[in-house]
Amino acid sequence: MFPYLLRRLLIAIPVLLGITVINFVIMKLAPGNPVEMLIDPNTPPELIEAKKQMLGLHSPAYVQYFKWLQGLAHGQLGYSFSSYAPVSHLIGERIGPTLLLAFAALFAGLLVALPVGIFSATRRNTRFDYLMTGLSFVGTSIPPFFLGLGLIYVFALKLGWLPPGGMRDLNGGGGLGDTLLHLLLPATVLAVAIVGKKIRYVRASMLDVLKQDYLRTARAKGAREFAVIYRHALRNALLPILTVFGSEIPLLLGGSILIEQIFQWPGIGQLAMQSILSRDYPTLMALNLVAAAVVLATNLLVDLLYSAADPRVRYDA
Amino acid sequence: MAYLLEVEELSVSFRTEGGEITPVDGIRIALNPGETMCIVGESGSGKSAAALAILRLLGEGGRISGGSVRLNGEDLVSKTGAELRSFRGKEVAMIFQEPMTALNPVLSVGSQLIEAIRLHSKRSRKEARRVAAELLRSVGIPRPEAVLGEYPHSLSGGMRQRVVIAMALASEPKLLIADEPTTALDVTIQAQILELMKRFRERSGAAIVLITHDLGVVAEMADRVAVLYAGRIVEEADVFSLFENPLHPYTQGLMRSVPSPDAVRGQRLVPIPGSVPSPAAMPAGCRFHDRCPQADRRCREEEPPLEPVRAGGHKARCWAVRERLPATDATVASVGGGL
Repeated sequence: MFPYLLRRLLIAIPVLLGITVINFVIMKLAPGNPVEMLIDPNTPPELIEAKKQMLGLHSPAYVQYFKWLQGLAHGQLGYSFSSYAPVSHLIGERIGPTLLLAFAALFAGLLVALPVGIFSATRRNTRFDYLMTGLSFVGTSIPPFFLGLGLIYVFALKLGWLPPGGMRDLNGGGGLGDTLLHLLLPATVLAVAIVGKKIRYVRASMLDVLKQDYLRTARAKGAREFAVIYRHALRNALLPILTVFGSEIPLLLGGSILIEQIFQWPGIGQLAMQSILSRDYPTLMALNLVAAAVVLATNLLVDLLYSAADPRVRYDA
Repeated sequence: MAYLLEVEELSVSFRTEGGEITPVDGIRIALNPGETMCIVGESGSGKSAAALAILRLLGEGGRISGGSVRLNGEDLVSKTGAELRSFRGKEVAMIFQEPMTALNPVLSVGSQLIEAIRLHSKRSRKEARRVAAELLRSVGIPRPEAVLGEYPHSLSGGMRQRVVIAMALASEPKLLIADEPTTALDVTIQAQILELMKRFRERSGAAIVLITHDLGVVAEMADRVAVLYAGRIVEEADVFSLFENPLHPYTQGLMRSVPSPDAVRGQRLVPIPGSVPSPAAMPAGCRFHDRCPQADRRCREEEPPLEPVRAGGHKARCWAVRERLPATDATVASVGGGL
């Protein structure tokens, strides 16, 4: 187990490096540069040139990349081009809210999709099943930004029950209850998208397992239907579900850009949007690095969970 | 005398996209304690469906569409829920064809075995574990304590089938239904598994219904044999009469299609032409007529009844056999017993 873990972590290093190279190239290929974004276009060219010198944009691209890498090796992510704040600070401030939003949505999604999917599968072709597969279709089809705006309109503007955006109330908010209140709408929007997709996964996976011979063996023993479903079937059905839920985590981190915009949620999605618009290279590079690390980490986590859930999967070396 | 298992006119239907089909159509089985009945037939003859129907394990789309199944006089067809569960595993246990898929891959051997034990007896977990280890030892599994903690994938097919058998024997059932228990195993393991089932029968006096297509297994295990063709029993006899004197053309065909140890060198095996008709398109008349070398017009139009045709309760469903054998002989058959 430990050698396996070590090997996976060592393999992650070149993978991460490769990703940063690709990111850097794409970023450089994108039209526009940070200086144009920062400075009034009527500024004299000498001043622009000076600014470029200052930001290190005068040297060739590969030199810029290696300088960035050198900084990284020393634990430095550099400074933002637009706010001049250390990138590590910017990300550190923003990652918490994003993780909160992502995991709240994932948790809520699991909490709904699992039981509904199981019920749909065990009561296949009943009215409940049709209703749920129908709703899951609706859930997948509604664009999150549209649902977000709709929810803000109804629950914030019309009913006034929930805040329309932000993470805490400006008039002395910031407690746990206050944060949860702000969390409710954006998390719901993300959760709806997850639930819509995952109900189908859970249902399909469960249906697959329900056909297996070992469930007949369990019934032949005289086991109750409840035990057949939740003891014998569910653990087997969970294996593929684990993978799809795991792969949802990086999607949630990146995919919440839009939702964070709509709800003014102070997470890395918003930071990423601002950095893209201002061509804030150091921040973008760091954000990409974080995103790549999250993807690799969740993959590893899913693999480890898999071996815990399925006795046939063992990592020996 | 009262039979242990009495299956009367049992029919099984399945809903399919092309409408309802009836793969088992009016079969009758009567079994005394300690007896072994083999049900023989090709794939598609309905033998597995019949076995599953006894325990009401037909699964989605399948139902018993007629007849009754009685165990010790109690009707299993009308039972539901908890009543049925108290029979499954306790009074009637089942061994399945595929040991590779019959065990749950994510639960340890021990937990599956202990579950079977505790479902029908009030034993503590610890005590059930001890019993489980004993059961594994009794089916010939070495180091039973260690195997309890292992998962099915680390055991061979033969070992898994032993575990399945141990699970089936956990509550000392009065009836054991085995659906092709040795088909997926190699020959030496087959013999060991059959030996296990025999030992259990001798020790406990339980009855066995053994589903197979292997006439070698029949010769080894059976007291009585029912030959199933297209959902109907076409011939039924004690094992000696059947092998010495197969009457139905289908049974004769089956015998000719397997090699026999005293066959003449160079003698060819004769396959039965064609295949079992699909339950969705059953031929009129005798269901075997289009593969039968002796079929005449009557066979195509009218289905023969399953009737005693020889002494010892040897029954056949065939017009030709009826004509060959005098009716008086048949009358004797219904009162005569044994060989």
